[in-house]
Amino acid sequence: MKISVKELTTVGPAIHSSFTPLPFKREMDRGSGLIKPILAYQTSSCIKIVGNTHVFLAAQAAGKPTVPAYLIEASESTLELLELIIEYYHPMSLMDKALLTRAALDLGVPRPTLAEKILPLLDVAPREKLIDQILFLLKLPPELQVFILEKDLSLKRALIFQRAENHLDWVTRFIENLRIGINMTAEIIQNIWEMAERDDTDFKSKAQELELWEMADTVFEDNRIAVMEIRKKINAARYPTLTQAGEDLASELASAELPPNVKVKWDPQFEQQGLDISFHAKNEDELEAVLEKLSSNKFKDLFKKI
Amino acid sequence: MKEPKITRIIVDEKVADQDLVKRYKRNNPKAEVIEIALTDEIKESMFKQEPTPAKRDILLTEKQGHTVKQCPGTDRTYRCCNYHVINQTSNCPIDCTYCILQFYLNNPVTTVYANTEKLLTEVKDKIATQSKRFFRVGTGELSDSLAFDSSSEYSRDVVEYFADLPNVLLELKTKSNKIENLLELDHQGHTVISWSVNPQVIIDAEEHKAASLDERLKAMVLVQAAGYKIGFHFDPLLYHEGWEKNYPDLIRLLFEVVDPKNVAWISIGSLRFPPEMKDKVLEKFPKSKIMFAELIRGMDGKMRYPKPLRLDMYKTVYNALREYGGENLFIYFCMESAEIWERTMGWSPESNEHLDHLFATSLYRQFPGLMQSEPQRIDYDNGIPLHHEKADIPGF
Repeated sequence: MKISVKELTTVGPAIHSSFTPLPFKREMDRGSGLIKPILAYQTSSCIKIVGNTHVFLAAQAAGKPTVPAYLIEASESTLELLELIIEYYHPMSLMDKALLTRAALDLGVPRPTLAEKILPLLDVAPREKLIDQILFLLKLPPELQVFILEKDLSLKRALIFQRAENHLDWVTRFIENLRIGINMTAEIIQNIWEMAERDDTDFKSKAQELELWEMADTVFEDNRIAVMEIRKKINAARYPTLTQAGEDLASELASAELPPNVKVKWDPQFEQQGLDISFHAKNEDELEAVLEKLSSNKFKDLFKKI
Repeated sequence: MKEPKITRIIVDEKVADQDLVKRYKRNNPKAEVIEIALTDEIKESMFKQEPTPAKRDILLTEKQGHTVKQCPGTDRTYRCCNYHVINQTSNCPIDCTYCILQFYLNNPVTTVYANTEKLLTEVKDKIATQSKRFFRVGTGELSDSLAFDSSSEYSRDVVEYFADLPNVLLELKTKSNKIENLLELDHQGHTVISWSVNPQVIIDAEEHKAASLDERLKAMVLVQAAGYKIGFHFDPLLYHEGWEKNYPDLIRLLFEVVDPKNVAWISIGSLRFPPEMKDKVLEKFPKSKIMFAELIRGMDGKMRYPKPLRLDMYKTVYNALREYGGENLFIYFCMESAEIWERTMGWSPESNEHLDHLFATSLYRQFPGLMQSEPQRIDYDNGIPLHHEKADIPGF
């Protein structure tokens, strides 16, 4: 491969190429203060811009006669060109990886070759089925694509949106309305999807059943309260045995009528046996009152439950 | 149960003259046979292949290092029974959704150690060093003990070898009905044929290539008639709609064909798996629903049903076992806490060594003549594992 640094005229070169959409988020280039030369490729009939096309277009629009460029004068194969473009954009965002994968397919790179040779360069395992998963990101609404970029999501994390593939507008509204991050988003989507699968129903019906569907369009003064409410609803549906056990224990604890200065806690997952009991007694009388209640059969019976 | 189709037999030249290799060739006349000088690089490339349902390679090679190891068990938070394993075959054709092997051995190569005599001699030598202890050794940790038996006829080797060893019981654990090779063997009462059991609805949904319940029941009848001891493993119990009825019904069916007097032991355990396994299961078995159940991370880091649910299931199964099988059955929990033992059975072993001793005592009482003298607790408390290293996972 032969590459030279040149000033390309903005009049001559054709700009159409499969790489035009790259990079996904162009304003990221501005932060560095330096704009690197565009990347251009000399074909037998014309010059194609294959890196930072938007910079070339901006120069054209501004009436600049030339633009600095790395010109690839010869390339042995499409794969070699792709490798160079990956290097040019390094480090690539997840959305850029998706765009490049799309471009590779448009250029006719066979899927097995793409999986074996290109995916590892994108830090993705060389598995063919991951090609479709990466391309799924390009189907997402623009807001979710920006979300992926801003939160710097891994492919695995971003694929959580597949679980709600037919309701991506709802997901977008839900995230924006509740101002929640990816972890909470993933937890909600995954739980709705799992419970829908478990109960042989669809995603939307399950979200409606859990009264989560309308939350995408409900106004909340404090989104933290909304998040707590979501957690409570999901836990009650996802962990019915644990929820019931917790409620039973709390009810029995209340009936033991312990003094208010006694705090009783337990493992909410019920794995750890027993109770954590703490209290502050300011004198002997308080101490005896507490001990009397803690010695009651009603309180001791709690240990049969946890 | 359908025979697992072996498409290719790869023979490491070091074991080319072993009987086991000859049997694999003879019993799979259509399989391609390749003899190679196996190197680490070749092995690595074989294990890196993507598994495909249509392809099953058998790699016959030589076991290096120790053969008998402690059952991997779990940490000391939960009770374990000091079981030992021989991992002669690694990989299983039965493809149960919930199996840990899906996670660890997700490759198309089944490794079989063919230097049988060395393997068995090591077992013999090691158990001889602690002659006052009575050991339980199984081959069903990294594979089903009998799934490949039509090809390997390995059961003939091990059953007759263990028949002559005074202080050990061999356990062949299976979900198959491949018991033909067992029926004429001189086992001397030193082999337990045990079945992992679940209701047919679970077999249909989660134990994809296993024998049906009916096939297993018929196999139990034949094995019992041949004088073998029987074991049952209700492990994993799986939460599903109707479990409260399905498990007691299953237990009733088992004791309609198996005499409790012939049952050496029964284990109970519930679904548990490393959290990382969930995505693999969802990917490989998209129709399975077991991962959508109520599961929490246990104290050993594995995903489990919450304790109130486990207790409910355990009590149901335990009570049905006592109802249909009687009070003399030796029932134990696999990887469960002392608290679970106590809340289900009303008692718990003091330690893993104590549980090991209780096994021996139960066998001594139930099967007169199996041991020369009554097992002493001190021999178990002071016992050491046959090999401290826990069972390994090839290819990793």
